[in-house]
Amino acid sequence: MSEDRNEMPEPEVDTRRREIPSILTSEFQSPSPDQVLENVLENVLLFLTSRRDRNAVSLVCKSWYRAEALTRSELFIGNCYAVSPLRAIQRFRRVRSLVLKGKPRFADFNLMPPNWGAYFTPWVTAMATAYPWLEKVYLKRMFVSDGDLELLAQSFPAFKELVLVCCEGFGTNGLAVIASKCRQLRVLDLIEDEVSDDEVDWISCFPENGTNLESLIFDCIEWPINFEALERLVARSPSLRKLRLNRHVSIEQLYRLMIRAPQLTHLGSGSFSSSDIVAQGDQEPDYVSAFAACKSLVCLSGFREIVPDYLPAIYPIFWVLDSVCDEGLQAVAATCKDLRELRVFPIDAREDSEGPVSEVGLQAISEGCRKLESILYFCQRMTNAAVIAMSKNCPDLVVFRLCIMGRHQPDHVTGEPMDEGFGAIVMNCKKLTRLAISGLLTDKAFSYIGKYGKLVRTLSVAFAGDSDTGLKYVLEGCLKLQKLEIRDSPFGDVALRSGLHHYYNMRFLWMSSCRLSRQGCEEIARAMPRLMVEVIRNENEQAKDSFEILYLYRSLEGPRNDAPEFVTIL
Amino acid sequence: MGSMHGEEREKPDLNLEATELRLGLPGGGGGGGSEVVKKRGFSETVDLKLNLLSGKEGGHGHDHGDQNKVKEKNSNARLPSCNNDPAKTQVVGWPPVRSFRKNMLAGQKGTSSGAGEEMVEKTTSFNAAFVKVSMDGAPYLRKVDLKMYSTYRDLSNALANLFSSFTIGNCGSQGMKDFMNESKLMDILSGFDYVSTYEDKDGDWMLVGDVPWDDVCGFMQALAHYERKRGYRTGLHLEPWKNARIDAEAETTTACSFDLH
Repeated sequence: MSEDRNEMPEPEVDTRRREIPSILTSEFQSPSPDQVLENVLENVLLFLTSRRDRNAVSLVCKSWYRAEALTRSELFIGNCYAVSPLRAIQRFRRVRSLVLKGKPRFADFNLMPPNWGAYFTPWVTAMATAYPWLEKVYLKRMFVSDGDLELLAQSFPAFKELVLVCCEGFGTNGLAVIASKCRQLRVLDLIEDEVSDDEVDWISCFPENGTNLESLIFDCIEWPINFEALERLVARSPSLRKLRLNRHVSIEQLYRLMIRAPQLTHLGSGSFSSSDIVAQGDQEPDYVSAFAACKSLVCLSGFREIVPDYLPAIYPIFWVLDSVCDEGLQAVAATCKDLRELRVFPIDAREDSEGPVSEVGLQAISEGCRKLESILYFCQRMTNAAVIAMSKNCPDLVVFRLCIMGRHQPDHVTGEPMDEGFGAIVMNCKKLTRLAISGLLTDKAFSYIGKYGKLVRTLSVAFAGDSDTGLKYVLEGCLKLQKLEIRDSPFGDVALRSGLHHYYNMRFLWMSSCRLSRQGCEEIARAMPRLMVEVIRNENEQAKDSFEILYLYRSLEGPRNDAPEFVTIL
Repeated sequence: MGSMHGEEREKPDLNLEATELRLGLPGGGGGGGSEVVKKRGFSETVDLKLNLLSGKEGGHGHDHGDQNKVKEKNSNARLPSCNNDPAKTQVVGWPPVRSFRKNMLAGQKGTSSGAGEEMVEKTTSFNAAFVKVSMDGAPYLRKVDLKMYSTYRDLSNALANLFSSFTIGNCGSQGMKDFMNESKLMDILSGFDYVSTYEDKDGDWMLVGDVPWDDVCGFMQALAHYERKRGYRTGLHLEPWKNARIDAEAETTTACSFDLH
């Protein structure tokens, strides 16, 4: 899901060979040297899967550009407005897999008015005729309608994998069509989407005589599903490895599923609590054996409503945790020596609540889990010392996201800003590519980031900094910066101007509730014709000139024609 | 309970400047009620502070009593971040936890409200947009259909009426009329100093009668229909309607108990 962890599975290599004229026929014609070169090149390029390598290849010369375009089978588009569907299908003729991303990340937190854009429709429409052999679609933060899903199911007979992350616009109707018409379906992953309820029993729509399902994830669906149908589905899906259930599946039902599918490697547990429907006096199922029998489990998630009695069944098998206390983290640190990724979310996601997680937990994790690569940590209070400790103990960190929920919170022991902590992170974690900062931060923190964060690609800033200088440090120093999202920080037009040399190298810049003026943004738009500068108004704003959000991104296409009324493209 | 001044009940002086309403009504402009029911929409937790100044000052802690804090989830409105309120104000999109995850965690039992915390929870009903409203110190909570009000002033007035009896002491029969939606209940209860309440799934005591009876019946019918149509057990279930008894010795009466998962 995250580019920084490179979690994308390798796409299938296209092993079709090009025909070469046979030497043995009487009409032998020796191919021209150029053609030989292209044939060879194509066959070699088949093995090149990294998109960054492929981009480099395509720049060598025209012949290489053509060969690369013909052999690229996975198309990655980080911003759906950077390029049009038509341009994409004209260049890349044999795409099997599409990754497409739409809205910027801060839209997830209600900072963007609805109906901003990122519609899947023009893409699926173009691909329906251009890529008949499409097998895989991965969408993030896109608006996908039931009609889009229907078109997808109809147009691609070899379709195998659908992954929708943080998407919206579709419902159980669309899922039913996918389930019933995509006979080759192996993966249906719905991750943190908003799915509307059309009262359709989509679970029952999968093929009756057996499926190829390897992964079924639907924990984001808020509506009950037909459990008996799910049980039958699991029984007739011998390849199923990943199953993440929604909160309407009780622990008794989970047990029944685990019995049927001991080969599971990833399990999302549903509610993990008892449905009250179980009558008193019934024999409690043997959960411990059920979990023990699933010998391949490497990933557990879920546990919406944990009843503590059931926990002992799952101690041996943790990878990702949701919301525990400092004591819990100390236990993790003591036992999970190989932990690579940790995410700690707040049970009570408000600024002023009493949080059970603090610098104590972070310190413990840093001491126990030395191989940590990625951490997302919400807490109420933190100290520089703990963050510095983590920077020294966990040198392999690639992703460091710390969210101190109280805005402008200093180190609660020393009262100082959190500058030194984050400074240590960028200084000591030499592989760091993604950083999210919080707490009381002065321009000094940004100077550290600009000076040492040479590999940082994604930076998230909120309620931080003193002046334009802070942002300038970052824009001038972070040479690899691709995605910069800033909210509620005192950066203005001067700082914005300091990034002119870099904006074409970035995927996007988001600034909301900062100190920008319309003139400042217009200046940027004038200076950079291929940069789309969107100023987005709050829906309630009457004054046409004021705006809440600046969202700018490079594009080959010019201003998009599907922008809503509250968006102005300068 | 509120103070027992026995003062003349005055219409609360609604200083609208002090009424910091920063909330858009759910459903937006043209959206149908059914849309709101089906989709989660953009859910958000917001502080809605209504500074209702009751008739007389000299308020000894009246300020706290009169402040209704109303937080609404599942609002479709987008809100500007608030700069003029310290500490307790919730800022849009902060902390950066996706609404999906907030809902997931809020669904856990026992985490939805603390003592002295005032919360509003939205019940999806047919064509209404009911929100639960509480006031510190009041013995029970009320439900208000936001669709009945077209301006903030109306809502503000209505809330003032709903809770006015707690601030001015004895409720005469005139005061009771304001509470009851159903005239039948009024007949039974006129002359009594008792009201009917029920305990909902959050453990809050709610005044009987705020949700129109038709709606309640309709909801239960819809639930039964939903299960029949699907042909399978959804996991939602109701406990039987407990007998309603008016116990003359008790102050309040348990009329029914819902337990919807």
